[in-house]
Amino acid sequence: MTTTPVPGTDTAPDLERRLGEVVAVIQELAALRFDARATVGAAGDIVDAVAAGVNALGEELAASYEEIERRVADRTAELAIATQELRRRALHDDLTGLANRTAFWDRLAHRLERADRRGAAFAVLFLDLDDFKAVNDTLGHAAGDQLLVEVARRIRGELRAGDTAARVGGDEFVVLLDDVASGDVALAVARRVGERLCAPYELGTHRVTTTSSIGVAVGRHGLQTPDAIVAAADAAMYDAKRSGRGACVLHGAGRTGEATSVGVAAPEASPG
Amino acid sequence: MSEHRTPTSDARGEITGEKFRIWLRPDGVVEIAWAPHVPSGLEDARAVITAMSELTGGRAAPLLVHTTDAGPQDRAARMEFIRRQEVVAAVALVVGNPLSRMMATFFINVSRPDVPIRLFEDEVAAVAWLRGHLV
Repeated sequence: MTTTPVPGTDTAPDLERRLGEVVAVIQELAALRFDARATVGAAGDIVDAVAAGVNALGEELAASYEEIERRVADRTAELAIATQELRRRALHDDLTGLANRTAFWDRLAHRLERADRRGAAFAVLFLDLDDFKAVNDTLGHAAGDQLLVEVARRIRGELRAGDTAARVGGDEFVVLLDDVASGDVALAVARRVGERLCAPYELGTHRVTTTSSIGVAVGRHGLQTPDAIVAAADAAMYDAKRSGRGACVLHGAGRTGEATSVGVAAPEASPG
Repeated sequence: MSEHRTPTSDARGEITGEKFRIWLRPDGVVEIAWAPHVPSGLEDARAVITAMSELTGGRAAPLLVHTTDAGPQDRAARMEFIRRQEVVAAVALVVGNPLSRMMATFFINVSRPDVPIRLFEDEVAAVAWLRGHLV
């Protein structure tokens, strides 16, 4: 490994051999094999200087390469987190954390595509709070927001893993029941959600009660698109509104539907 | 990592390590000479820094380095000197052959310490310059 030529006494073949070794190391470094090192002799002559310089450059090259790889890994991880956050924001309602309109329509479209292959039906609930405006006007937007967050939490608590709840407007929520045996079963779920939403809400120092009107539309009844199904549930929700506070209506032939009032008998919004 | 002997010190303020000898001159300049033709690495750099701190009581002092016969020094050693450069007030690198000149130039221009550092071929000139950096 160590050579000890006397400076200035190298023969041409010796010099060529020593320089050849340095050239070989340069080629190794160029191929990103950074552990290559040239022999640095005891003479400390110009060839040793070149060899030591190439070795030192190789070390710096390896360090720079490692630093770049580390930065790329860091940036890639940051990008993945940012992408995940962007995706979450793009598909979720900021206030409640539920799915947003885009995500809901996507999932409903996907469910429609699978409808032909699956025997089970699915249903959409369209839910509107009856007293949200009163709460918002009386207690302020912060209380209104707090109410929406709690409503979302309660709706989510009544659903199964495959179901999807979304907030699609100020106080409008939609739910996709992924697998229901019949309209009656979907209506029973709607009724259960409605009952849960009737329970009092603690908004700061105020206790508030509110009802909700819920329309139900079952898939595979001539409703071929997400828009058509949601529109049917929306129409049933308006039928429920007309039927009185806190009602659930199943969209059906002739839009006569079925109006059923949930457990609490038309409680008033009673802020404070 | 190789086995390193514990540096030994004598009453005259000189410490001898496995690959170096370092001492405190009466004029306050610390002087170091590396063992000829021996490559040095991280542990050697740490030993030098510890020895220097011992000689100066931890105060930054000017450092005169004889590099003419020194072997090559690896990057880990160079970076350790940069990381612990608070132990020196200024560094004069005395060079004498192409290899020492190349290593000294590389340290100054690539490792780029923040403390004043210069390359000299003449030891007298190096000491004169260092005396201007006595703390």
